[in-house]
Amino acid sequence: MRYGLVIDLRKCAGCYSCMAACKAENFTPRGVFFTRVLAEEKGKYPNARWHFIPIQCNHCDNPACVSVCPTGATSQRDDGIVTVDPNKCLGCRYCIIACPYRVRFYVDKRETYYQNPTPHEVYGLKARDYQEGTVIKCDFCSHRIEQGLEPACVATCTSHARYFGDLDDPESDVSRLIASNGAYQLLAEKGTDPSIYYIH
Amino acid sequence: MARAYSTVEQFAVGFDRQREWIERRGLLLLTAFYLGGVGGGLFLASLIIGWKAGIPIALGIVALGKGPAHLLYLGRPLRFWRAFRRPHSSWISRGIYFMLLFILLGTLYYVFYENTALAALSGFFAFALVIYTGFALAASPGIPFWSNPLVPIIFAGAAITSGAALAEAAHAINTETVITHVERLETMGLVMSTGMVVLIFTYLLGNYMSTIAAKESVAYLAWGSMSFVFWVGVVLLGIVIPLAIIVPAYVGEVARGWLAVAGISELCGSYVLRYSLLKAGIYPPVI
Repeated sequence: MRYGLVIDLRKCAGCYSCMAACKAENFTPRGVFFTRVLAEEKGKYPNARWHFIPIQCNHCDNPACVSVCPTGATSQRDDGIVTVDPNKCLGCRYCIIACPYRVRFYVDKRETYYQNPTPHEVYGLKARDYQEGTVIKCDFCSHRIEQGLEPACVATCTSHARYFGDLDDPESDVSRLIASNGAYQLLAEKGTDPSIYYIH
Repeated sequence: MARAYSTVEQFAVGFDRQREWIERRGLLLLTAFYLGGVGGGLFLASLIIGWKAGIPIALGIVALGKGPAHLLYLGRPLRFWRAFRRPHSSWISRGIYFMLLFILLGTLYYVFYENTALAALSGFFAFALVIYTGFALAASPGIPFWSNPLVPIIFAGAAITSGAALAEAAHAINTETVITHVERLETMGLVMSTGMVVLIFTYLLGNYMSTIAAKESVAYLAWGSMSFVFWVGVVLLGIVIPLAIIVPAYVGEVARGWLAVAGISELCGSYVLRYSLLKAGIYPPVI
């Protein structure tokens, strides 16, 4: 079992709903976006086009962040999900340095967006154990997976550009999409073997 | 705020500089790397030139400088003990062991000064201490400028050069400094400084001819917004001024005051070298 994600960039409309859903689901602190949508302008007028590339933790099969972590706070589960134990992290940020995808975040101060936090933010402060002085990241919404649900970014994608499933199962949607569409991984040359594939 | 990235950097495709290990509290980590290098380098230089008083100074720099700087950098310093757990995979864990063993064996060597076995063991851990920071950087696949086999050699070279420079400055300032093999001091300074010129040039040229991110790092240092710091700090202070004094001193005589200037200038240049290397850590675009 190895959870993975396929993102079909041909369908991605750049609506940022994955980013918003992730933020709402995970109550991430101010300035932290576990899922980000990168925008890139390609071509020149009158043929210029925006291209959107959603990125998040790739839950690599050979994660650089796990091997460099001096405490074992960052670890890989049997299902391939890479997690950070907030009670073990000492905030050295070596994992942030090692990750080629820039998808780990150091929480210096856990600030809310508003001086008087919204009820959602107040709930989030209690619901999520994001400790100051530690590193946090996407965990594929493991709390949702345990309930048999898809990650929030997948469930909310308005254009059905995201597919979540088991990469080890050759019959899963993700495996078939990867095989039939020539899907690729970001920065594959780094040897990290990401679990997120892109179709262009 | 979680981190001081601008909206453009967070949401646009492009090069991205590392900030965690150089900005804000990251400067403490830079200082820790530097003090570890100077302390370990001074210990090795003291072994080579026979300067007994240099040993406690080196141990003090590491124990009272490097260690606290590391602790102050950590987000959760009280959990530092957890970093002992993964020496089999993490260079930070290995570094902690190197530092503690260096302090322990170095102290024993100072007490039993003539013991050759202790000299060899403490020298080994001093070398491990000065080279591990380079390996820590080289083990980061995300930054091509660092992911280079020359990085550990540069860090070790800079550390030993700094150690020799500190010994040189101390010897020049205090005429009563007892150094058994004082003739080795100038030779060491000359060899190390010249070697560093070759190393830095080879490293930058190699990176310029490799990946786009490594090339971007070189451009950032050599003619980008870091060029003033690089040319004045690394090249002028760290290389040109020390060599302009050490070479005449090696072939003839120069006033002791000038040797102190060379040593202090090299120590400043060594700090800026590490700053420049950390500052120029640039991630390639994800696509």
